[in-house]
Amino acid sequence: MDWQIILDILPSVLLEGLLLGLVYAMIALGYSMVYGVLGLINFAHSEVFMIGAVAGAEVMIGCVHAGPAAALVLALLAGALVSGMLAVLIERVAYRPLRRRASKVRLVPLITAIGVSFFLQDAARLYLGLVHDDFYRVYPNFELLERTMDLPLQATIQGKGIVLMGVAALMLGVLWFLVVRTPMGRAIRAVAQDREAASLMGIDPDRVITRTFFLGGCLGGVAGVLFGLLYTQINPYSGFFPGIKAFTAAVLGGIGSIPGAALGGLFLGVLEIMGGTYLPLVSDGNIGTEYKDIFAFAVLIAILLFKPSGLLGRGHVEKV
Amino acid sequence: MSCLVLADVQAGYGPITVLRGLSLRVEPGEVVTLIGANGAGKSTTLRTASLLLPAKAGRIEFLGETITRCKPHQAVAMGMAHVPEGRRVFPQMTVAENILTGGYLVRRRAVLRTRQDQVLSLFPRLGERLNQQAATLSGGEQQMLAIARALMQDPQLILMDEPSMGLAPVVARQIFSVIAALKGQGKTILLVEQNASLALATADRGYVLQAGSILFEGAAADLAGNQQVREAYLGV
Repeated sequence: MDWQIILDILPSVLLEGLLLGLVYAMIALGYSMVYGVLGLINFAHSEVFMIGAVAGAEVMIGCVHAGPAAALVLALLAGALVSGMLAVLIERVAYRPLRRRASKVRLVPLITAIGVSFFLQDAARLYLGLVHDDFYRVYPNFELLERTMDLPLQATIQGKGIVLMGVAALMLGVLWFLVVRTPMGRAIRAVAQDREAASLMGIDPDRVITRTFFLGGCLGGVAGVLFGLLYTQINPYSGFFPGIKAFTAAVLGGIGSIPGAALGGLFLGVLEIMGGTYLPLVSDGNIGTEYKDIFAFAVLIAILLFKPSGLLGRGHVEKV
Repeated sequence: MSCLVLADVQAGYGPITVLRGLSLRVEPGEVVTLIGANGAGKSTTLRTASLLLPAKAGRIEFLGETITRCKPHQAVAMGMAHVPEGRRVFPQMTVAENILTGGYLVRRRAVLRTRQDQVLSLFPRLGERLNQQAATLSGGEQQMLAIARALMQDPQLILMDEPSMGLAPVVARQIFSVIAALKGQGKTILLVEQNASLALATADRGYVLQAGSILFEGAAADLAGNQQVREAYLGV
């Protein structure tokens, strides 16, 4: 085993982990914000992500002659809007009627979310089959986005990596501003902390819930397009692994916590790429990169065992 | 026109009926108190009036409009503020954010700022703690914050549920001096209070609630002098 190699590739590994981590962070925020306002794990969120990726692919393929910048911007907009509206639609059709029945059983909306998730997978498969007679979509190649640039410490980054970082940073910044600085953000936090008290401030909780789903969906859709750009191929099941890992990231950071979700996503992304890269190296190739998924789920198990409230989460302490 | 009218209201939780045909009214500028034993339905009356709890039967009128089927946030928009039992401040928000959230429906910045200044001059203690998390405040400060939040709405009517609950007597008296000041400004208040003597000393009128309906009503001074009320609720 060669320690020198491990050190040499460390900057590249960290960078790649950061890129994946940003994608996880953006998806995780959708889980965490919805959990914040509804106490519901929206397992359909991984499919919201996937459909955003498919929408982005369609637009990008359609605009391939408009040049990389235009195609990219339109694809990101399409991913954000399609996913945002889809998330709102899911809430209206699947979750709100259950809430109206005032069901105290938390399991009911959870099972519904899993049902919606399957429905969306098959809907995407049906769409791809009918329209393209195919099972997946491939993001088009743009020379500018594929071009590799050298960074210090022998690290390299592709054009699309820079795009991913810029877009993700912008989205996270805008979200932070919305949540911390605007009345809408205060309303979201108020509903998350005490829905009844929020309604006594003149806040319409249903409207806040709709907006939360829209914001979460937008982030998920943009993450989907960026993910597609990075890994090029998207199929109806592409949402499952990123989705469940982002869910892990949200739990790791403390579900319901917005900075927690971002932090958990980054941590998990770096951990996964490091694990996937170094496992074959330290085991002399006996354990391959395909075991990289073990890390995320080991983290999930560990966090549930030892600190279920997550790193930045608040425990359920009720003040009397 | 009455400020608030509850007419033959029935309400409760699931299969349990708490209010059994309760009727009361609050006139503009009045401070009215509801007194009664634990479980008589005092908080339920306020929760029904502010629409947090949908009435099963009867009619709720606010400023001349029937609001029985409206949502709580719509009542707030019409000018009804409710300072709920247990304060219910937003624990993970700062004092300043809590106050701003109270002014959620105020869209004009200048108005928001003026009201914030008014509220802070009423509760200077909150001004010293603007950037502190609400969860770290003492019980009395949280109660002040809950009232401050409601005042940000510049309400036509304030429902107050047990503002002295869990507070040291000194602090409770501070809260009640604020309520008296609000009364002096001509605010309309419907007050639920465990401490009946404190409540009757502040209020113009009172209702005695028993098992979900009104036992009797009268001027606060008369109720405080009534033998039955004195024995049952004032402990004398």
